[in-house]
Amino acid sequence: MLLLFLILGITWGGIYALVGLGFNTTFWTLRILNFAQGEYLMAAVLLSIGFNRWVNLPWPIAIVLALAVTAALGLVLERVAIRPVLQHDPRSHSWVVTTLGAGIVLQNLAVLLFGTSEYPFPKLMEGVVQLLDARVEKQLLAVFAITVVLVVLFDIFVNRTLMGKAIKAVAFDRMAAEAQGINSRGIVMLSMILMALLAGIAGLLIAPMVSAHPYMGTLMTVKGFSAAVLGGLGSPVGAIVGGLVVGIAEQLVGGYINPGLKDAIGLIFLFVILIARPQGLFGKKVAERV
Amino acid sequence: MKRFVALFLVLSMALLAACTSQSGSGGTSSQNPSTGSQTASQSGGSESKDPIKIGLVAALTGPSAELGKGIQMAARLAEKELNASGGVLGRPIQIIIRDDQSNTQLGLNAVNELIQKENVVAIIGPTNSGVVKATLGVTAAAGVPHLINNGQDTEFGYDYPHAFQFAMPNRTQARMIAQFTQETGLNKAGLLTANDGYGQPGRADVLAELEALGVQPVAMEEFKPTDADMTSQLLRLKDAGANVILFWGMGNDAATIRKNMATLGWDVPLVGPNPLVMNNFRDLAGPEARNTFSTYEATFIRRPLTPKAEAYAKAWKAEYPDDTLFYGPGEEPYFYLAMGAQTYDAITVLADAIERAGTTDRAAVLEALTNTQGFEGVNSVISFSKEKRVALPDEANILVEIKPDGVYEMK
Repeated sequence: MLLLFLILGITWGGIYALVGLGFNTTFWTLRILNFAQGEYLMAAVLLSIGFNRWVNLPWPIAIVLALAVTAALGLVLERVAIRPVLQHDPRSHSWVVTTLGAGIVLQNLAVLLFGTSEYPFPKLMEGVVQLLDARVEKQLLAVFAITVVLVVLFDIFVNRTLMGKAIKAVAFDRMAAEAQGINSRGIVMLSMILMALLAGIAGLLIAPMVSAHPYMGTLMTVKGFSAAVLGGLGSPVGAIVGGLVVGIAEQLVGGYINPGLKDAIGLIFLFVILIARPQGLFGKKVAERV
Repeated sequence: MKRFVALFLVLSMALLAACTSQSGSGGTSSQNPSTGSQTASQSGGSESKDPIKIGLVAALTGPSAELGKGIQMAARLAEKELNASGGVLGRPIQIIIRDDQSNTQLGLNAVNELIQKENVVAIIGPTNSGVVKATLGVTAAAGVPHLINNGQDTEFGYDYPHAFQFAMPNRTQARMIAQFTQETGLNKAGLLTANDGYGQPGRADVLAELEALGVQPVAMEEFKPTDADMTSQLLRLKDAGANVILFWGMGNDAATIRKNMATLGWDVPLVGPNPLVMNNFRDLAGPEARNTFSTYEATFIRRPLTPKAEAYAKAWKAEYPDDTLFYGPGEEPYFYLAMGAQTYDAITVLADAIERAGTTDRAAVLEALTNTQGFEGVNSVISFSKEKRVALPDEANILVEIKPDGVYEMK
């Protein structure tokens, strides 16, 4: 049992980590948290289904196209829900409401287009494997493997590429970065695209295991946010550790205590960490914290 | 004080406006050419050739729209056939259909309007159990016979002297689900039920029926409808040694459960009520839609069809040649036809009762309905009594096995 809980916990935790990393990217460049994140996860899944069902595109093309549209929607979000708020007052926190609102708009659009019913989504692979005393589906391991690859790629991108370094420079000091000739607007756009892609891929990974519907993203926003804050906002390692902690804790609580408490445990961690260590496990104390 | 009066006035005006606009929009769903005097239809048995009005409330739009459409199609078919064979009491039948969008308030409005304004002899519907519950008091107070064509709550056919149930009662289904443990010898039952208004009474029914059989479940778990992941509940059932899962909930949740079971490499039978036979369970579960059992009307699953069922299927095909949902895409009729047949049976048994009563007087029709004996319907031979007004006898329901490619009678 324990092994199975750990496998499930790590896999789901990896998904929360992806969403958590999405929270980080916009936090770095814009100092905002995008509470529509979960809806981007949902959008990528439903758009894939739409392109496959109604445009009759094969799945790989439908998925790539859906991710492209999701990324474009990320840019739209910056333009309509974030930029106007920050232009009006850079210290404003109205983005909490505008991003949440944008998420509700996306959700309602999805209901209009897809209705409230659920849709199936194809698996990457069929079959079951035996791991010691646990039997799990290959699909689950595939999800885990892809998550690991994505996290590594994300790390390489941010730490080893010029563009990634530019993101960090903007995160560190936007004015100074611009003085160095970094196109900060472009970097902001890039972070929005990254956010949308991370959420979208997370959604595509879980879609075969759960069912796709317009409300599938809401809970993921909460869990990804818990992961990011638990690990420390702005810290990629933090988001990963936070995601894993939430994912494993969920399985243990659901399995050994009560399945009904599963969704609450992430929030409980969130409250505890905010009281005990507000900067999160891996976050740095910053004097000008907002 | 003045402010409160003003507020009250504004509110009541808004309410009035809402009421009128609703009855206005409701009117679009019926063709209502006749303006028969209301007293004429009440007096009954006169020389009047005014149509006999029957009210049908169905969820034509909203979450149950698909089912609602089937109910509407069945009702129009019954109406057409009855009128083609000379009507009832020499008068044509007119079925006035209202859409409640699965909404309790709209359902109440529709039932009130049909009784007060259209002066219908009887009410059929609404589609959803919750709306039925809300409207039973209205029909009882008005003394209007209430034919529940789709609601499955166990009390509908027993606790309301003016109500008649045409769908399979939950308790009957629960008994068959519990008996599955006896028939297969898999009696380490794990319960997995939705913690909502459908799952909780269902769980109580299954528990009561298990107790009657002397079976003690090894574990009981609940889930929130649309829970994305139920592996925790499943692992707890597995850990308790369950070798069969008794389920109560909707098809989409059952699909999640079957997919989660595949994730865990665990494969035991899943047995539940008839939402499982709906297409959406098989759509969502895909290849995992297997080792799953449910209850359903035998009408269009068993072969050969009864003559009545065969005639109904033929008439349906002739009336709706383009329908592929209820009749199915093939030549052979699909078992979905039984859903509409519940409504068809309700209307034809009502017409028979009016004929026997010789009048459209509601009290007389109610008495004639209650005394119905051996009426040959599509889904079953229907008999009512003062104690039990359930159209489907137990033997009309069978256990079926669900596979990715369809639904079969359990061997």
